[in-house]
Amino acid sequence: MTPVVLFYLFAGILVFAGLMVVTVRNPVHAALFLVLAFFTSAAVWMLLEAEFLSLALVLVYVGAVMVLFLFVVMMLDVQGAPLRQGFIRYLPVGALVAGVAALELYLVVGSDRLFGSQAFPLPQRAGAAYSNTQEIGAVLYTKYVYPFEIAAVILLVAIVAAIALSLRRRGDARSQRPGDQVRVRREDRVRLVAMPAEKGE
Amino acid sequence: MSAETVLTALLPEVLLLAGLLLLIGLEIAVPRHRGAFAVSLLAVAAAAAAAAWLSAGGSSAAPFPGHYSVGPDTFAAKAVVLALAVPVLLLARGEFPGGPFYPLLVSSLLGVCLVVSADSFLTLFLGVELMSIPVYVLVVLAFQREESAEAALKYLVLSGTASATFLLGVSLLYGGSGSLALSAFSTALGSRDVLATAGVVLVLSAFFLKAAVVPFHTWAPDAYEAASVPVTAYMAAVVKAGVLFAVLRLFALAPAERPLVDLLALLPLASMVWGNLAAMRQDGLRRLIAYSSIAHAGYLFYAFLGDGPGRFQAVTFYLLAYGLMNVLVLAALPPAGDDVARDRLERLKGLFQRQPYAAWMIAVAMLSLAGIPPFPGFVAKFLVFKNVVAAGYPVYAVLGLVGSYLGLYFYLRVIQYLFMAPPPPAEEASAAEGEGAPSRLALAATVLCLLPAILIALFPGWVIDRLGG
Repeated sequence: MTPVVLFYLFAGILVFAGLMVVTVRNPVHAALFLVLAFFTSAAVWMLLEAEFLSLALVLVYVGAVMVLFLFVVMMLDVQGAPLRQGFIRYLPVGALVAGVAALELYLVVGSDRLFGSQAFPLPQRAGAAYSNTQEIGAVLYTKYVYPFEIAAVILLVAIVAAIALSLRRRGDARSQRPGDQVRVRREDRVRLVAMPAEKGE
Repeated sequence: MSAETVLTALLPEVLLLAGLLLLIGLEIAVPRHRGAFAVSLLAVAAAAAAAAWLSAGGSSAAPFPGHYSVGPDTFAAKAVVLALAVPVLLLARGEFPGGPFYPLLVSSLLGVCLVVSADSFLTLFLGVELMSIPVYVLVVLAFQREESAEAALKYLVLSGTASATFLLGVSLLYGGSGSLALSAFSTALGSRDVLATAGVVLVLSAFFLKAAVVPFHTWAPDAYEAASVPVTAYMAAVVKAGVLFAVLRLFALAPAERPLVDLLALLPLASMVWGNLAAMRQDGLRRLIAYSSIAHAGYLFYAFLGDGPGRFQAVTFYLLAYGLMNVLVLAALPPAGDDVARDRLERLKGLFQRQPYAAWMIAVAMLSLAGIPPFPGFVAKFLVFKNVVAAGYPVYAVLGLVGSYLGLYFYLRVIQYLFMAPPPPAEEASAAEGEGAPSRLALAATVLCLLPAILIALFPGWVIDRLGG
């Protein structure tokens, strides 16, 4: 099969999966279709000779991020039904907007002058000895080292932000302090009261 | 390039990053948030002092060529932004005894510093994100009302849209020039190529959204109102400054060319008119500040009509004067038991009889924001409009001045409330009872805003020279 046929096959599956993500009722199914979409785009990237990025997409997004995503969806137990309220009511406006957007896209992309194959000629094919990974590594830690470090700081801040949002200490929460529990003495807990004995009847 | 040169060039950022890591460590290790305020105040003040010192020393370097460079003017810009954050931190002491507020604020400041020095779209984007991500959380941090969460979500979604728009524009510019350098933007400004123009317009509209210029302003009033007072001050003064410095970096010295000039003039003009008109109808102080900041975003973007060299001075001076005055209003606002009550404009009625100092501070800030002559806001507006006229757009300058006169009404209405209106009637008295004297730190914050304001009002020329350009 030629790459062109493969491309159209993958692109078709990708568009189908993308459509299903936003239309299926069940959020778990939507997440699974998102996995399919990521996987298919990884295949498209492979066709573009971006092997390393393609595998990283599969490993990181499909392998790690989406599993996390599925956990969250299952934990939150999102009900699909309320989300669909007003679907029919908003359909005409939505369809109008989508139609206008599609027309505009056609007007821009449809003309060969801007996005046609003349405007973007095919890049030179790299030989078999060319290592994608090596090239990325060579620029990532030399030319792009500072943006790389900043991205690390952003991830750190994202963790702080997520904790700030989810960790709310309630004023009325009660917790045990094991240190105090161990350190407690008899006098703190028991008070001996001297009482005169009473006579029974 | 030796490590010493790199560290000197990065000194403000290194200090902020050290402060950030120390704050996170403190949060984990020390119970009851001890020291968070002191560490963050120290880190920000030290970074501001370092930036001012390096700016005065005239040092310049490019530690990461093509991504990050510093010069006297970028150090001056960083010093302005970091100095504006100091009174904000003083204000925050009462509302946030500790916790995630301080690390988030410091990391956002780190993002602003990166934006100011960015040389490539990559650094610029990362800087803008690092600046905005903590602010989404800061808005909702003092969660007291249901609307806060809604406003924060609105801000997050719209700001995310702006980021996506920015990336789309950058990808078009990258496709045209094959380079991630910021100079691709200024080159595309003069280009007749459709894709380059589309890229420029997309990037510009992203920053219009981040700075709340009129068709893209809807998030601002809600977010400013939802946030607690120090966060509102931070957004109005520092985040706005960060966005404008990003645009300054993008434009560099390139002049605005014909088809784009109209976009750069009409949307800010609409912003001034609509911001000033809508501010007249507000009865909450923070919403008023938000609409006033929308109008001020208009004046600030007007500065880009002017010629390259004068632009940096005009924008930096404006941001300094405007930021100081915004923080001053919010610092002088008397505290109240209830956050919603504190915000109400009605409560300012007759404030002069109760707290003359606070009333005078708010009045000075309002007159300056309105641009009345002896106050710093006047010099700032004068610089902007002078540059617009000098660049050959007298019609836009006149329209802008007319738009700015619309603002006089609501700034003066606040002053009327402060000095001439009778104190609130009996039912309001209960709200006024919760009104205490401002804390000592809030007083310190007003002094920190007032002293530089007096300095730039008395010696504007000297300050403008220090700001470089």
